[in-house]
Amino acid sequence: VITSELENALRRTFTWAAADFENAEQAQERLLQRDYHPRTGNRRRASLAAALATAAAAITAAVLTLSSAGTHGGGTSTVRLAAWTVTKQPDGRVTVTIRQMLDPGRLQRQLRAFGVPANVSVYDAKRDGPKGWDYSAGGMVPSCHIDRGLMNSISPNGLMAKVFFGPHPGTGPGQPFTVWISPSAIPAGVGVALRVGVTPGHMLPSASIYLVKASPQCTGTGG
Amino acid sequence: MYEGKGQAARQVCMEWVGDVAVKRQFERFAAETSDLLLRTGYLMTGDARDAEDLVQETFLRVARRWHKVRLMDHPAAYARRVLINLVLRDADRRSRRKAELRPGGIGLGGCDAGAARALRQVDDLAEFRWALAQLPARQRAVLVLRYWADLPVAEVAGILGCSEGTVTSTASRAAARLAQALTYGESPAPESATSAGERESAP
Repeated sequence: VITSELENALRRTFTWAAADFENAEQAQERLLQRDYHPRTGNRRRASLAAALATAAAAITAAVLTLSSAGTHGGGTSTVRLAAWTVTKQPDGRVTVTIRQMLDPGRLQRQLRAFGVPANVSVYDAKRDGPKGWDYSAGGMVPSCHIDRGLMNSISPNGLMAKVFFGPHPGTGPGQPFTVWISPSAIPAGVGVALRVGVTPGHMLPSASIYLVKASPQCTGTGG
Repeated sequence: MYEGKGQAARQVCMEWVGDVAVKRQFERFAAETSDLLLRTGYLMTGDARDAEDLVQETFLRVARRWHKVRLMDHPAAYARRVLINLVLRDADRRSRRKAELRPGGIGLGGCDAGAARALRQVDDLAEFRWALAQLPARQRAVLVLRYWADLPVAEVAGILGCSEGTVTSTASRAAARLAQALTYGESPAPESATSAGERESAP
């Protein structure tokens, strides 16, 4: 039988020894920068999702082709740069495909011109920290106030799903990132923020999307 | 036709948003547990790099089962169990390496009073880590889980897959061996690998 005196001595010594771990924070940082590819349980659904995403993209392309051929730009507007493309469809929905994060200011202006109260910024892991993109871990969008309540609305009827309505293929680092935005689903006082990561191989999607409180500093619109 | 496909697209969006949420959930889990796991691994191996490797392997294994682990009441407890089992599985290789560093052995001795006195006199953590490393991995695990993680005997028994009585007797024997190593600066004599509670197995 171990006496309480011995138990206390063991507890004290183990606490002391555990606290002696030097550079634990750096070790943690290294560990958290790795991508562990957690299984979501959506393997079958993921392949279905990929197939549907491809189909939806093909349909969209067909719609866009028809629009540009038949309406002479009256319905669909597209602004395409080498780094990114923004398209406004006839029904008002907007798609953004980002290949490189160049000229975020122009992308932001273009989105606002298409009716999206938007904020576009660059996420840099070295500058913003490895968790700087994660609002739940204290990450922030510069000049904006992330609406945590709305961000948690990831249910099928939640606002996140309504605003970012479409498929989002190719979210791996280095892959083009497509965001589908429905401006009509954005309530008054709410805006959309995009942050695009610039650290290759980092454990992130290549971009992060947020719902934020609209403000002149953040989205160029009234609060 | 487009609206109909739009419903499908919306469903895809749900999946995507859900997947991102699950991945973020894992990242939060990793951020919240990494310190605990690192220090557990450090006490179990006595080496910071080994501890980091252990935690990385633990996260990889947990990630492979994350669709189930995330539904558990205590995912962190599951991760700790994975880590401990990795150490036990690796125990033979590690113990051989430690033996090369500090060979020797004397008969078992010590008692509770002697053990407490020996621990009170510890003023060098390197010495303590070395003494801890001399214990069989299973004894080390019992001490770390009981007296650092502060887990009840029943939970330690659950992690190690043995009875509560075995945990208690192993803890007593481990404390005596630890005290012996600290007092005499020698590796305790190896115990029979088949003695109760000392089997190196990883469930």
